[in-house]
Amino acid sequence: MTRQSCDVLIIGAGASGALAARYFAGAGMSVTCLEQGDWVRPGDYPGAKPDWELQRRQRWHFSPNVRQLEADYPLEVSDAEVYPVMFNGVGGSTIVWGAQWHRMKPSDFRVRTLDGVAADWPIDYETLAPYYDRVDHDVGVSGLAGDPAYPEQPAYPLPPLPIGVAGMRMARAMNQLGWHWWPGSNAIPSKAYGNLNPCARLGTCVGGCSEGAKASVDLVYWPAALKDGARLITGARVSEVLVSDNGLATGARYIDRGGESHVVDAAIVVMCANGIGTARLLLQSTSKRFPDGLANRSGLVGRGLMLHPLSAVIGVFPDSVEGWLGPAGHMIQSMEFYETDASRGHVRGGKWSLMPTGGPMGAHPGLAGAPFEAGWGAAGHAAVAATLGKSVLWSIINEDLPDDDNRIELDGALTDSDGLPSVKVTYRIGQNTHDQAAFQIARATESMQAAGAVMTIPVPVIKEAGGHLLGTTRMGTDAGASVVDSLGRSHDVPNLYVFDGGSFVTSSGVNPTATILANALRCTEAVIAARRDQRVAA
Amino acid sequence: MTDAEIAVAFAALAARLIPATDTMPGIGDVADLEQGLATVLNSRPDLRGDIMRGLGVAHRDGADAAIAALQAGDREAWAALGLAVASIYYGAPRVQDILGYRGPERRTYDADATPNYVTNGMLDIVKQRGPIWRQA
Ligand SMILES: Cc1cc2nc3c(=O)[nH]c(=O)nc-3n(C[C@H](O)[C@H](O)[C@H](O)COP(=O)(O)OP(=O)(O)OC[C@H]3O[C@@H](n4cnc5c(N)ncnc54)[C@H](O)[C@@H]3O)c2cc1C
Ligand code: SF4
Repeated sequence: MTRQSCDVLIIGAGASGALAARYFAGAGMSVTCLEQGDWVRPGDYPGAKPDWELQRRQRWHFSPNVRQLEADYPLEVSDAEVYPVMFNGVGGSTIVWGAQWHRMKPSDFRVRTLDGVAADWPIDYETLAPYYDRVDHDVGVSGLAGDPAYPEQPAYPLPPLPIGVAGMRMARAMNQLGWHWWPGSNAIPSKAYGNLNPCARLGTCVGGCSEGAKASVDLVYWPAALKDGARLITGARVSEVLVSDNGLATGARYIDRGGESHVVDAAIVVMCANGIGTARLLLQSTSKRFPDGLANRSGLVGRGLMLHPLSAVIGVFPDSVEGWLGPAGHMIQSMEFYETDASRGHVRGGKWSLMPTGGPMGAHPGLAGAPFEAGWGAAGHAAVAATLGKSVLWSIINEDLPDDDNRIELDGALTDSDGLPSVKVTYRIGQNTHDQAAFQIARATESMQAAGAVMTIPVPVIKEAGGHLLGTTRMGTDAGASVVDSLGRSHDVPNLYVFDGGSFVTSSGVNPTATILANALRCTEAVIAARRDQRVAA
Repeated sequence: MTDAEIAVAFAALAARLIPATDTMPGIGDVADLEQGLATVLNSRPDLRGDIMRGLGVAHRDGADAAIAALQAGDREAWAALGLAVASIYYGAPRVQDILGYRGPERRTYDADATPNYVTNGMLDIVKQRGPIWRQA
């Protein structure tokens, strides 16, 4: 066993962990980050390689249950209507993310006040806006300012990516319907930016970007963090957050790839292991003082899981719309049906993103599970001919409201490769979300038809696409009704913080990572500013 | 099964899954299936067990009976064989030429050029409707 010490111990080297490491180290604090996975280099991704379609269905799949790498932990999902997906390695899930980049809107922070559901956030849009502005520049967002779906904001650092034939066609249809659209904002550079190359439009973004173009945080934040002295230990699975007798965090224990256990002592511990991993680790960290798990006096650790059930509408056109070209990412976005409209019979809404459908294997009905007669032979040829390059899809995010019965727990039987208890996921889609999805799908279908689609295919829920892991350690002012305060500090353990998506109060209708990063930056700088007053274990 | 038996069983199944039609060649016309299967297994060794189990059924009962049996009773083998066959077929240069799809494509563009949706007024229509976000 080895023992080291640092000012700040960060658990997880994904989006929030990378940002925190970069800013803590930049402020001169000594930082250690423990990450259960490994580094990935752009050349590792299947990207434009001939076996890309084979690889993305296994080694580069976004479900840990499919990949089954040593760095992954299995998820028990038999009681889940949506399966959580993630990547475990340096960069976290930004390795496989689509890099669609959105701020939450002012109303997203005030759902209790405006719509009478869930809870308001303890912070508002104005609080986060300056941090959004800064992370836009950190990651190199390509997009166009002036979107009437948002309050005014400064120009993005890079011009938007091309919206392509498909984007133009759909934009015309949206204009015809009088509905909102805007060129997609993506954390994908349209020109070389920092460590990132310009996007080449391969469209393979969610299997990793082999061009080194997509803003994954291993490329965006880690090089600067390491340069400023942060220490990143890979292959290090944290098994327990350690606490002193007086209830303060003292560091963590981790297991290396050889199965050996080590300890890192720290003045401050920051959890960045995502909305599943952080809650899992807190529940694992039991002690005499915290028998139900660390920071869990409220009983809410693991509860209130939100996963953003995704819906889609595929439109098939009579001619080519170059439906395999990236970014993926998105070409255009629509927020026409984002805000609550009481006449619809449900509250809240969602965002649409126009995305490519990919190559022939994505279009093949046999591979999608159709029976032999409908999926293979002449039927398979016909379906590929009808859809390859001629189809495009609206990916629709449905806001799911927090429900304490939707939760993660430690699984009694399932373990990871180190023998640590893994996770059971319970997740049901609520009625409001179902109603919302049905409404959005109907409208998206109309828009495809207005654009000239000869066939539309609705997909009510994409089951294996729960990539937004939110709400399991929610923030709030009431220690009985939340796990962390508005700065991410645990109500129960004053030198233990959560900066990842677990701290979300509600899920909003947009992809979460701009908000995770903006909030992590705000919390990191607050900790840096208050470091002299920080309570630490002796 | 011997290598030869594996090759025969795979070729028979592949031909049933992707036959020639008026517009498209069959898989046997465009690819060396033995070589193709080796490439798939090299790239995805995890598929070997499922594929070999499926081919065992095809070797014993024939391609048509295997298709029915695997679909009904061994979804993993069925899916693995479908994936292998499709990957060989859509990776074949002749098929890619016919479909006009040669895999993920690099496409250059001028990021500084003003987009046509700006110059032709399409985006102005959206702006003219004014803000659509809700004050909170
Ligand atoms: C397929 C997919 C597509 C997505 N597309 C988008 C998109 O277009 N736009 C968007 O905004 N968001 C998208 N997301 C979500 C985005 O990737 C996440 O919101 C973001 O990465 C979450 O950041 P995080 O810091 O909370 O955790 P993560 O980035 O998930 O990082 C957590 C890290 O903690 C590590 N860890 C966990 N437990 C332990 C442990 N016990 N010991 C050591 N290390 C541990 C993990 O290995 C991991 O590396 C997508 C996600 C997926 C999966
Ligand atoms: S579309 Fe751009 S970001 Fe996506 S994989 Fe290709 S080069 Fe990378």
